[in-house]
Amino acid sequence: MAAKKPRTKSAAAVKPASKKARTSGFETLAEREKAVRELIARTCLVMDDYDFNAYLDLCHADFRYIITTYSPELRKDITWLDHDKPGMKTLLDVLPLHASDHFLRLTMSRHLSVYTIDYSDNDTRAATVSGLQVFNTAKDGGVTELLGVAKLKDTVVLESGKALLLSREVRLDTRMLGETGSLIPF
Amino acid sequence: MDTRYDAYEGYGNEGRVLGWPGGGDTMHKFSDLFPTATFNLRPPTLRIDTMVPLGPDKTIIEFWGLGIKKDTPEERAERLRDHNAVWGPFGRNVPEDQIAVVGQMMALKTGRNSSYILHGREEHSAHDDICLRHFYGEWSKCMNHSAADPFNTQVAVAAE
Repeated sequence: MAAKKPRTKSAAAVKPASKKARTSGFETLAEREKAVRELIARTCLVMDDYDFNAYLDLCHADFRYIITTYSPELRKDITWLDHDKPGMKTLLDVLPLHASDHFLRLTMSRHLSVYTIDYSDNDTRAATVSGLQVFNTAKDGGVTELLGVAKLKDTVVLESGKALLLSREVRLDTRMLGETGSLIPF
Repeated sequence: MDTRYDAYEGYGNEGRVLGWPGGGDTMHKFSDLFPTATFNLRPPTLRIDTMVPLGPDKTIIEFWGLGIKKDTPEERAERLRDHNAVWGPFGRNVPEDQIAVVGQMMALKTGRNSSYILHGREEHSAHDDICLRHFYGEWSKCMNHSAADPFNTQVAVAAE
């Protein structure tokens, strides 16, 4: 069989980008970056507003959420919370029914900084690492206290021009979470 | 106290299938051992709380989550997940209990109630404060004083 005629340089340059665009739905790296960063930021903003349904709308159907930390006492990693999406929905649906300082006396705000974003070969997955600080502010008096610091290790799905959170690991540095712990996931 | 989660209105399928020897997956048994231990059995885990008084206004409370020694790694992982979903630092229940404890601490330290008061209930459910009434009842028997009048001031008031 005769060898195929080589494509022109311009055609060769266009084809890989077009292949990526069909897979993730985003044309350029800048668009993917914007989508990933905005998604991670929105997950924090909606949780700050206690808009739990909006949070779940940002999550993929196969979403998994875990909170981990290292215990020097046990000398091993420990997992403090582990939910799939239905489990997360159950937790968030019943939260307003539980006695909690957060709904009466405190506001919670998450301060986020996205550090790194690494893409899979076909750009349909992004693995991110972000820094997170969580503060409580008393409604009465307005005093703000740091509740905890953590790294967010997220996996984002990029498909059909949409970004959804596939998994989140909240890797806590803080192991003493104020006087009452936190009913609300970070 | 002995309740069943599947008897609660709105109980849904939480997907718990791992039980506890001698009981099913939807039971909840709660019992105190006067004066400083509480046994809370909510399959698939057992929680034992112990209190160590350090002084008149300071107590260590420890929460112990227990599983079954012969668990497979998968069963152990499920017990851990379920325990922490309810009784872990981000669980649905323990932070509520800690709010009550902090409120008590504030009342003992300042003589004033917390501005956020959780009222006790008497309805033979998981929210009943029968455990507290039991504690005070046993305390009264041991101390030969009414917990409602530990310094015998009510007699003097009545005499006046």
